[in-house]
Formats: sequence, C-alpha cells, structure tokens
Amino acid sequence: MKPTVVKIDNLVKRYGELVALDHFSLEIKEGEIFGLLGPNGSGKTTTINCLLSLLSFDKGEIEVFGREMTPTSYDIKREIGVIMQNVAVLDELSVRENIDYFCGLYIADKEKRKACVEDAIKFVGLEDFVNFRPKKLSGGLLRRLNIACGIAHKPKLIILDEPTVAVDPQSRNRILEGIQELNREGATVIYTSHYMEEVEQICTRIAIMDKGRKIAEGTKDELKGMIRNSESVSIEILELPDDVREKIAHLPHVYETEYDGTKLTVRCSGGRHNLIRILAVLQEAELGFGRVYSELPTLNDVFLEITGTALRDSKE
Amino acid sequence: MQVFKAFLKVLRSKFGAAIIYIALFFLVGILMTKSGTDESVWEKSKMKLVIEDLDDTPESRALTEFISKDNTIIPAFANEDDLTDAMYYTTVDYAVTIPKGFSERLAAGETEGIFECRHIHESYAQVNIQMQLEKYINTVAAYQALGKSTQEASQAAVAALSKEANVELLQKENETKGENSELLTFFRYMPYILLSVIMNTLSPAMIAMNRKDFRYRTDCSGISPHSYTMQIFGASALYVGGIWAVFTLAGGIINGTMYTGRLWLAVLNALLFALFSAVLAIFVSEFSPSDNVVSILTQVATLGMCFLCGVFISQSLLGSGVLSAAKFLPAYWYIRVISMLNGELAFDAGEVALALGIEAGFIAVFVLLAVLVRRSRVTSAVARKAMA
Repeated sequence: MKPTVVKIDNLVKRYGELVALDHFSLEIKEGEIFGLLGPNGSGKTTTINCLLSLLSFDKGEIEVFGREMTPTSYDIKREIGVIMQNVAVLDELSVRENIDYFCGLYIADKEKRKACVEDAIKFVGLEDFVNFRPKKLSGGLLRRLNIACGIAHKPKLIILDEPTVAVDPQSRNRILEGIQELNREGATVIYTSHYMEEVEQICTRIAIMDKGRKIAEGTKDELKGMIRNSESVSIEILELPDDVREKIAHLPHVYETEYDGTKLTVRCSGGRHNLIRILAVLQEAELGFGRVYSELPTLNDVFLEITGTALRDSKE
Repeated sequence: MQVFKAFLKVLRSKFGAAIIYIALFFLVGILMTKSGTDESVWEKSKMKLVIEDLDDTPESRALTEFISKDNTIIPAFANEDDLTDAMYYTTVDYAVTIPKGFSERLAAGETEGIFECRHIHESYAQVNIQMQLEKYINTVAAYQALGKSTQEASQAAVAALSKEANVELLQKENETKGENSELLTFFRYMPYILLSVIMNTLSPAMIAMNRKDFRYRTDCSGISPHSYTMQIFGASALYVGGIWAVFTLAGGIINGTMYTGRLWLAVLNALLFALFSAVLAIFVSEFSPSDNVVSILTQVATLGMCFLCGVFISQSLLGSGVLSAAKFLPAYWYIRVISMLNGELAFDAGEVALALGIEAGFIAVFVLLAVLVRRSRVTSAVARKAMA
C-alpha cells in the first residue's frame, strides 16, 4: 500500500459567522493526481491555504508526509511545489530570473539550481522567452511561467490551485499534459478546479466540495456509480403523443422522461440497449425524429444529483 | 539570500526613474555650489555698443567718453545692413547715433529725441543703457541750470557720473562664511536628491515585493517571514547606505574637500535624512499606490519640504509662520544643522545634537506609523475575507 502524503482530519475554518470548512477530511496517497472539485466559494482554496499553513484553522489536524504541518514546518514546505490561482511573479524580473528566484527559495546550491531552472524552462516550453519580462508574455505563457516557478525545485508534492483559469484551450491542454508528466515522474499532485472536464481528464481520485464540506470522494467511475443516472438519451422530436411517452417511461431502467416540445430526454439507471429500446418504441408509433445522442453521466450530474444544483451554474 | 538579491534587482529596475533627479541634482547642485563662492564680487554688466558721432563737438565727445567707461565700444560699420546683421547676431547690443546739432540742442534744452538709438533684442541691459543716457542728459541739464556752459556742464556730468559708490555687503556677525561653505552648500541641497531618489525607487520596489500573491507564494516556500523581512531590510539598508555614501563622496570630490572635524556632523546629518527618506518611502509603500501616484507623492513631499524648510531658499528669508510650520518637518532640522555648520547660525553643539535627535525622532515616528498601517491593513484584509 502506498504511503499517505496528505492527511486532513476534521478541519474546521471559520471567518466570523461563515464556516468556510466544515469538518473536512481528506487522505491523499503517494502518486495520485487528486482533484478537488467544487464551485467557486466551496472551500477549495481555503483548504489549500490551510494545508500550506498560510491560514490558521479553528479545528482539525493536517499532516503532510506523515508529519504535522505547522507554519514553521519549513522542511515539509521545501518538498511542496505551489502553483497559485493568480500568477505570482515579479514583473521587474525576467522569466529566467523569476524561476531562479523561486527555485532559490528551496535550493541553495547554485549549480544544482541552475540545472533545475533550465529543466523547468524546458518543461514548460519557455526557452524562447527566458529574457522576457512577464508583462510581455501572453496569458497562456504567463501561466506556464507560474507553473515553472512552482515545479523548478522538483517537489514531491505539487499543489495546483485553478492553474488554467483564463487560459486558451491550447495552453490548457499543454498544462494538463504537463501535470500528468510530472505525476509520471513521481510527484503527487493536488489539483483544484471548478472545470469538471479537466478534473475528469487528469485526476485519479476526486473529492467534490460544496459549502466547505466534502460531498463525495472516489475515482470518477466510483463517483458516477454513486448516482442513479447511468445514461441520458436525447432525441429531437417535434411530436410526441402522451401514450408514446408513457410507453417509453415504462421501459426497463428508465426512471425519468422530459419533453420540452422539441427534445425528449430519457434518463436511465443501469441496463444495456436503452437507446435501441427507446428508438424501437418511436418507430413502432411511426414517429419521425431528428438527431439522437446518448450521454454517459458527468461529474456535473454527480454534483447535480447530490446537491440539487448544477456545478457549472454555481455562482461565486 | 534569494529575497535580498531579487530585491536589489527590483531596485535596479526602478532606478531609471531616479536618474533624471540625479542628473538634475548634479547640474543644479554644482552650479549653485560654485555660484555661492562669488557672492562678494560685483561687476557691472557691459554692453557692446556702436557709437556714431556725427556732431563731433566737445559735448558729443564727452558723451562718448561717458558711455565708453562702462561699455565695450565696437567700431562703426560701413553700412546699415552690416549693423543690422551684427545686432541680429548680438555681436552688437545697441547702436547710438549722436546727430549733427547735438551740442546746440543740448544747450537749448531740447532733449526730446536727442539721440537715435537702435536695438533688436529687449533686455534688462538695454533698458539700463537707455537709463544711463537719460541720466547723463538730466545731469548736464542740472549743471546748466547751475549756470555752467554746455561744455562745462558736459564735463562736470562725466566727472560726477564716473564716481563709484563703495558698496559693502553687510552680513550679520554670525553669518560669516565658513571655510567649507562650498561643500556645505552641496549638503544643503541633499534633502532634495535623497528624498527624490529613495522615494522614487524604494517605494515601488517595496510595493512589488509585498504584492499579496507574491508574498503568499513566497510564504509557501522554505523561507520564514522573518527571514524574508530581514533580507528586504538588509537590501534596503545597503541601497540607502549606498545612495548616501555616493552623494557624500561626490560632495567631497566635487568640492575637493576631505571630511574632517565638524564636517562629519554634516555627513551624519545626511545619513539621518537618508534614513528618514527610506522610512517615508516604506510608509508610502504600505498603501500600495501605483508608480504614478508614488511619483506624485514624491514630488509633493520633496518640493514641499525643500521650499518650506529652507533647502532652496534660506530660512532667514522665510516668514515666521512658514518656519513655525516647517518645524514639524525633518528638513527644517536638517537645514538648521547645516546653517550652524556653515556659520549662518552660531554653532552650538547642544542645538546640533537636538536637531539630529529630532530627525531621529521623525524616523522613529514613521517606522511606527508604517507598522501601524501594515497591521491595520492585515486586519482589514482578514475582515474583508470574513465578509466575503
């Protein structure tokens, strides 16, 4: 069994009357890419800040690499790489100087540091921009610089707090591939995001947060297995008599139908060949229909079913 | 030492904003220092004159003699165009033509339009020459009124107007100039450059290093907040000390003076003011203003303090109300020390110590204010987070 890298136990953080973290617990094993998924304001960043001892908390315990994490745990902090939500670099220094600055906070040896800085530059693909000031970089390149600053010292644990906010799709893919590569090289990764597609794409295990609480945890398949919905079939159809809809509703595994005058949505719980059975009913009734598509459940469906609100529609 | 080195790099990147102040300071400072050495020498300004005497009488020659005494006479030109060109290119400032019949008109008391005068560029000196000519005519008229002939009156006027009054520049007994007055004049202007350079560079650099996200990110690393602060402090001290040392050395080199005796008090005085400038820069940075706002604040603080406290204008010329207000500014006490060292005020070791002590007090007060502002900002940031 792989050792535990991060253990958060019963964490409570209050801002006056507001409970930002409500008895939050978590255990992350070595080699995982652990996703913290939740809408804005759900407590992801507060969790990260408490984990890094940037914030004090009211109750609970945090252990990193099997040792208690405190504001003075500098030996532990040296093993952690942090990529913050906001780009945290000095505009007055060049790309290379910025990476060297952050790397130097962890590695004192000049030669070793130089090699690490070059590796980081290469890793994020900023070789052509090393002498640029951050202000001259595009949003995507700036995010890559932010990542290089966080990983240059080759940490064992990398924490990425929404690293792809306001990044173009091309840069986003590059960042996500980079995170997977870091994980393959042996780093344990904690990845927070409110973009469920990203979390689904790269995380080996996911915790879904809402209002400071952990509402679900597991692999993406485990999470999807927690909910009733296993398949949603959507059919564009302009006419749907009540008896036909009733017939579909009584098909095996169908637990919900929805028709808005142009589109029929049928939600199924388990079973196979749901689509074939539904289309057979429509053909038997000699009804014409347009596009047909079948969707597997997403993490948004998981969030929707557990909390009653859609993850993507949640407000800050 | 990463923070230390990074901070110095940030300071270096901000130094461009200070270069213009340094250049201006050396230019103005050196000029002022040098001009301060010739205070007791008075010299009449001389004009380049062309005199064309068409009358050629004893009276007209007397006038020519009078004008020649205080001005440089250029030989007459062959034609009018050459004269116009010469006046245009200022090789000639003024042309006076004494027309035929001058002596007769002078005898008859017809002085209106008695000369033909030409000039192109208006200046104080040209007004002065016109006044000289009028004065001459009026003096001749005065002697004529006393019963002298025109020729006698002309000669008497030349003799009378040639007399020079002995002008003595009076100074109070305690305003006698010391032997290092040039260097101390240089030191007098130091508050301007210290405030300008230190505020324009240190404040933006501090703001950059204390940017919230950057501080958070640095706090995640293996470096303690105490170490971070100490490295910033060390780099700031090195920078401010360097600025002070450079200007102190420059003062000695420009004026060719070694620091000895009481001059070390001027050096200490400048160090205290440099420290005050640094503390003020840190205080301003606690409000995280933009670089433009820092620049405006620097101008206000620098020029306001320099004009109110007697850096640019001697304190003896400032009103009592202004001086009373200036006592609440460190530059006032800085200038008092300089005034006691260069002899404008009587030297009193106790007074010097008091002034230096008050400057140190200003430093302590602004350190306290900076700490209070930082604490209140941290508290309000936590409160804002709680309200969010």
